[in-house]
Amino acid sequence: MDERTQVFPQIDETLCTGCGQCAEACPTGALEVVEGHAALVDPEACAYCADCEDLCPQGAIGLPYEIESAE
Amino acid sequence: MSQESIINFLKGLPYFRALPPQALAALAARTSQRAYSRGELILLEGEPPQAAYFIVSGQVRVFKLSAEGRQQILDRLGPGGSFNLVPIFDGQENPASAEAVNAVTVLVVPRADLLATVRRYPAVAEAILADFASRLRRLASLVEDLSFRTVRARLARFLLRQASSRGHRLTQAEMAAELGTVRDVVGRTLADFQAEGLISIERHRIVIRDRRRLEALGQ
Repeated sequence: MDERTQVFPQIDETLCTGCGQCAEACPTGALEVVEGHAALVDPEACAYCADCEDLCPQGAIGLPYEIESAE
Repeated sequence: MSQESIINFLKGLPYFRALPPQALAALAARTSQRAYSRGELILLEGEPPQAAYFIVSGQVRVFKLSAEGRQQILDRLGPGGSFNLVPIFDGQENPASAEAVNAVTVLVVPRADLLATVRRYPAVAEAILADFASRLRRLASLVEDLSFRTVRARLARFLLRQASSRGHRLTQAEMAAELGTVRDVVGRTLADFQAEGLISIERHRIVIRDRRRLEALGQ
């Protein structure tokens, strides 16, 4: 796995209710509901599109970003 | 941590640098160590003052919560940083909450012991005052930002600051908590910035493409 794919969405299990909206929305199938909580079952498939973060009604998913300058 | 490690750590902090060895050893003997895991609450706003906290490792977020549960970050601290000092000196309840951003280890100095040290050694008081002055400046800057600047301007300044300090990774919710807004607004504003050519979003990287225009936006 190269450096580009080493950063993944963070799922807060204390907030996740297992509603499955994120898994339904995930365009690559990287997310599924496992044992009542959302889980990144296929990290390499994650496209970092943020649909899961946008849709989660509990705010349980966050995508971390690094901020840098091109110059 | 051993007593010797605690002494060495305290000696390295600006507050206690000028303390003589026996005073340092006495303070270390009254200091305890605690560990917190990611997301764990360290202090709750409104609790009575108990102790000052000094970060050995990890990152701590100091924040206030609105009645609706929205978080406003007041400070973000790393190793060597300290928090919960205000209630030590005015005896009133904690003005803010603190939580562990990642795995955190802190040293905890009880209120009575810190006050006794400050009374006995003026150099400690001086160092604490200098630190408070610096924090007041930062808070004044935050008030200025929240009162006088739009979210676009605040986010522009924030991106420039983060890029120059090579800060750690943040989610949009964390950015919103620092900027006094909500995640949706941060998301839309970042999308606008990208459409305007100010930044590009490349997977988990937000790359500043037009620093000059972003600086002008932040004024």
